[in-house]
Amino acid sequence: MDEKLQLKIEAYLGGTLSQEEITLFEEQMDQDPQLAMEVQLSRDVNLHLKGFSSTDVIPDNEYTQKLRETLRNEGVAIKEAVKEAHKKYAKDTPGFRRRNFLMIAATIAILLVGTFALFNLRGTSPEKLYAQYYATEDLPSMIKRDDTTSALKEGVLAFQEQDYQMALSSFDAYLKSGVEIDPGVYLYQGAAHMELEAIEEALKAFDKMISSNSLDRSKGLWFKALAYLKAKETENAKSILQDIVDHPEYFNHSQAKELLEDL
Amino acid sequence: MAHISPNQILEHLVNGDSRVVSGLYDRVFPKVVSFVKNNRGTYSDAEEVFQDALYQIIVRAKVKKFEIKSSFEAYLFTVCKNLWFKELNKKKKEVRNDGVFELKEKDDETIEAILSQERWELFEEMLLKLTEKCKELLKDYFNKVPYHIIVDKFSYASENAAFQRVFKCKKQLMRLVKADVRYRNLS
Repeated sequence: MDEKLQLKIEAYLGGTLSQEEITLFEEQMDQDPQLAMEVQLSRDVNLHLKGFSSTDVIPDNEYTQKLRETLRNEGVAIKEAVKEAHKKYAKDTPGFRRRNFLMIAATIAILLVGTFALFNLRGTSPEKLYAQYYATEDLPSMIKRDDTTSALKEGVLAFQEQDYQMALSSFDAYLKSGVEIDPGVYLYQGAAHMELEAIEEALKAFDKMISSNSLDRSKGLWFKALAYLKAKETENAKSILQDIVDHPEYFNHSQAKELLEDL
Repeated sequence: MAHISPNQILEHLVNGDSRVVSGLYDRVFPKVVSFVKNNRGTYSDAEEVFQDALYQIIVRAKVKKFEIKSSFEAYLFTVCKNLWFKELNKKKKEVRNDGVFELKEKDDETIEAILSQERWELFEEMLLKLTEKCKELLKDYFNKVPYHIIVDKFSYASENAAFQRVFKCKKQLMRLVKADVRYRNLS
């Protein structure tokens, strides 16, 4: 394929052709399957280099036909086997067993104490729900491989060691340092304040995350809801959770739904 | 399970050996949970991704033998990661289309996922055959690192020289991909 044509493909994929040129080029592709294939590969390579998965094109060839056939003949059985394995794992893991144990314990309690106890068991307090849903794994990872000295790194490490006061001073230093700020720091700041029971401060930090331009800004909403939960301001927590539930693309969308139901 | 090779694990998996599957659950599933949760997903998303990954690998191995070059655990984790990124992209598209999305046959989705994974493996392997400089240059260019930074970083004479280099590196990558026998199944 000559270089001129390859440059054209690049221009087409890069969106730098005029509307007229695009139409012409697409007509050319329609008539030339070889060219269409080249464009497709070029597009997939670009997507890969950008860190995305390739386009959803299923070519019609012997291999894809075989895949289709296998799925048709054995797909259901394979899927069942995988599901079974999953069920078995769920049954054998400690978390699942604990849940079973809780269920048995609850049943006994109901039998022994009667319906009054049932109400007590069902009323789950905001603190308990907070403990159940708050997870530091939900915080973004902030430390870049080449970053060895920054205040941000010190703060995150102090946070991980549960030295929240130290973490907060490091985050302050980072925010004042004049470097370009990674908004994720606000989540850590807020979480550290929450650990120190400074809910007002925590809320302020989460608000900064929410109003940032980070792709992860909806994490701010999730943590803000948890902060309200910790402060036992259930109504405020509920209204934020509702907001998350209304937006499937927001962080922890399904967990927010569960938590809202629990409340 | 250090004494079993990745390809033997694959064989056991295809034959439905439950010990192998439960070992994979113990060693890989927790990592997938934390990866998915750190990337805007939930525990149940992770469960689904893990099962889809096992399903995809078994189907693929039944149709055509393939070789796993890393540990099986690392391979499975990569498949899960790619599946989750695909899912996130799909969600983004659904949001853009106001929740209206194409209804696809479940089998088509599986085939798409298998082909995507195979393309991913092929591209990654061919990238390793380029020079370190070429590889880095391509990634910088396609991740929109500004031209003037690329020019400085790689000491090119001009922006045009940098573009010429990007173009050559990509051409070489495409050539390697097309020359590989696996490409025929994917195009």
